[in-house]
Amino acid sequence: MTTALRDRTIAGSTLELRGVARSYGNVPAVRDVSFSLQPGEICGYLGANGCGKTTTLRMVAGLLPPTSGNIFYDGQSIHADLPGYREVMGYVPEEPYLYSHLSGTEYLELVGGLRRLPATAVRRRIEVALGTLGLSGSRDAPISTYSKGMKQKILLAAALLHDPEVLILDEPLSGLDVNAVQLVHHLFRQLAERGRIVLYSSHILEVVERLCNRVIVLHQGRVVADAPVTRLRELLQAPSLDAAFAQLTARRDPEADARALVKALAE
Amino acid sequence: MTSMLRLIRHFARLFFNPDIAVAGADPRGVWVVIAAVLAFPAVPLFLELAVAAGDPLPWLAFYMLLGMAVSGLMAAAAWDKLLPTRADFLILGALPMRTWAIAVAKLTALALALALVVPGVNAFSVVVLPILTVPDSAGMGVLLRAMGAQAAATAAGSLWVFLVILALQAAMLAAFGEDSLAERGLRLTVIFGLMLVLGLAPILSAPGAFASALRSRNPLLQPLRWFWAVHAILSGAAGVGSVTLAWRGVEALAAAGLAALMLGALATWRAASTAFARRPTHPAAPRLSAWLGRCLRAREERAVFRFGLATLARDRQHAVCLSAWLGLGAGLAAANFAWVILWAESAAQVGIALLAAPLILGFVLLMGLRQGFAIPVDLPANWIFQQSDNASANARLQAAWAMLAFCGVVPVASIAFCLAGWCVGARAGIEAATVTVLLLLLLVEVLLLGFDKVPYTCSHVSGRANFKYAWPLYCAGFAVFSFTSSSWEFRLRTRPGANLIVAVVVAGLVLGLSRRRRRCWQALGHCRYTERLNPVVEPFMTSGTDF
Repeated sequence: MTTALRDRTIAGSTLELRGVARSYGNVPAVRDVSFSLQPGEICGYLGANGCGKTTTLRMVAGLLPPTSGNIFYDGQSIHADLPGYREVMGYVPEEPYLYSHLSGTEYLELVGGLRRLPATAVRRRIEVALGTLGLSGSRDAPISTYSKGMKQKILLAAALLHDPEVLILDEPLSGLDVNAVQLVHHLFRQLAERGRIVLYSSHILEVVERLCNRVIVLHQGRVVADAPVTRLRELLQAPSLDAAFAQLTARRDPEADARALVKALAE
Repeated sequence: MTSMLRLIRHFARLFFNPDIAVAGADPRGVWVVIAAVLAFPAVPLFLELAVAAGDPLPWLAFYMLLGMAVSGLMAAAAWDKLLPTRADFLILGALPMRTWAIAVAKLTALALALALVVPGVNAFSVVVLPILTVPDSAGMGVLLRAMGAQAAATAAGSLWVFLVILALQAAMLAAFGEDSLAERGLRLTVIFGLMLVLGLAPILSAPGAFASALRSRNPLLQPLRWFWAVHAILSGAAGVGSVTLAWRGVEALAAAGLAALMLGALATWRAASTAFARRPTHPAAPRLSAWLGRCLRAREERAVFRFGLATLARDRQHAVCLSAWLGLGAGLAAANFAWVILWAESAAQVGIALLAAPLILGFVLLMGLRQGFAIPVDLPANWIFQQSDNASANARLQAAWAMLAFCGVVPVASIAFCLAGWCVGARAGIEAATVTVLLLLLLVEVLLLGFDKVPYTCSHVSGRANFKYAWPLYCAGFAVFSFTSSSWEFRLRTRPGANLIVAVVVAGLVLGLSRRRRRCWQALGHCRYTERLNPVVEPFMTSGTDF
């Protein structure tokens, strides 16, 4: 990372998406998405399955280039200095894609090495991260033997290893037990208090309601709401975020749908 | 079709899956390959036999032994996969079927596979050999009897070898479990299997040795005598003691069958009862990679190097591929030795063969390591390389050189030192090791010409590596590298001055190519990643990595 970028980051940088769109062939996945995130913000990124959440997060993580529009970090396009941006960004993907033949420790050492972190610092951080996340006992077991939750913890540890300024989290709680979920909540809050930007995608609306100070709702690739949770509920006169989400995404009546399915199965 | 029949068909198919280099594929396909390789020498030998009239008995015995060896290799190649494994119970246990049904289906499929492969491999010898050896004046009855005798003796011998190995495997699986045996066993089997196949080739030139083996009292050769006695009785050529020997064969067959059945049941019970138990934690990662990594400067280089070592050591695809290459190298070296010992006319030929052995092994090993770089491991996990990408790919590529140097050059140079040091003396050992290091480093530089991919992360094989068209070049390169250079080395050993000049020239070439390679890698800049067309289905697209 360049020194200039690091200096700006310390001062507090914003992450901004301007008219970002992404198509796969002729199929548009994300259309004209714009928002900006300030340091210290935990933003929930919500939407139904296949609405473009993961695609947006991959673009923000620099893994996918947008078809049109641009993503800026501290006023500079992330694609102008992608390696520099990647050094201040941590990403937890939706699927736990890891090298299954490595152990948890070896995987984290690989990530630390690729990020050119000093070996002693990497070892210390791995020790603390694995201990805190309850993986000390499995640290030398191959990842192929890990449960989904354990893999998710390794992904979280890998994303945090270089103390990133921006955290992009795609369903980070998937498979985690209750204690780990609590720990991760506190972790995100404390990181936000330290000025980190947290962009958080999840389907568990109760968690988002408790954790995030702002939500962005995506529907069919477009942003249909961008406001603090309380403001959103007020605007839509909804008793909960779940009800507000149902209104925004034009959700069908789930009870009626379930009844129809049960009836069809019984016939 | 009942669920049992479906299961049997499923398991039987697995025995003929040839994709041993595909992730998650079953390595049992290697059976057929080994069987085919072993059966192949039959063709030229039959032609030779047809021309040279002599005593046919050693040939008949030799092919019976070949059939037994094929069965043994097939059983050993499949290693722990012959009996129901924990994976079978994990996958099928959730379905509404009993444990015994899974075990019975797998064993039935095994019997089916055996019933197809063993006669298939031996059919040619069983049918053609009697036609060539039975005199024309003898009637059809004599010919059919000879065929039947050869078939029965070969089948009995093959079945006995197979059952003995199955019983041994079952005993080891029951005692130690799958984890401790599976991977190591597979690798060793591939290495020793290829060594045996290639080392056997020169011995095939002297089948007369079997005539004396059939009369030997050596306990190791007794199984051959038992089943040869079966042949003698059925073909009407029984001698004194044939019946006793044949009975011993029948008893041995029954004992091996019983042992395989009982120990197999025990191993199956263990696999079923531990299927859903948590796998034991592996011991701490080998510290060797950490120690070797300290020799490298850049952190990224160290990280990729250690990732590469772990991949070679633990990923099944890479382990099997490298074992196959290693087995090929060791086999070629062994065959070269055997040939020289059988046919060498001067001490110089033996000396050249001695010096050529590490070069043969090194050439094949480096080729295998280089080929392995293009076989990706866990493609979807490559996103971490993209996500931690920085401005220069140089350090990541440098790890490829380190892999070839540490895993190819260093071990082979050590072998050269030990071999020459043990046979001739310490000074010869040092000289041989130095020459080996220089020649192998030269080969490393040649193999890395135009190489621009992070090892084990890319499935794209460059056009230059098109083996289909370039194999004559590889063969010529192999011959020159292994035999011409060892011949020079042997001739120059008495002329230190000339030896030094050659060493300096080779070292200069290595340095020149090394500087060129570094410049090319530095000029590459950072890594580039290509996308797949349908990322919605396969989310991460770093698989088509190129630069």
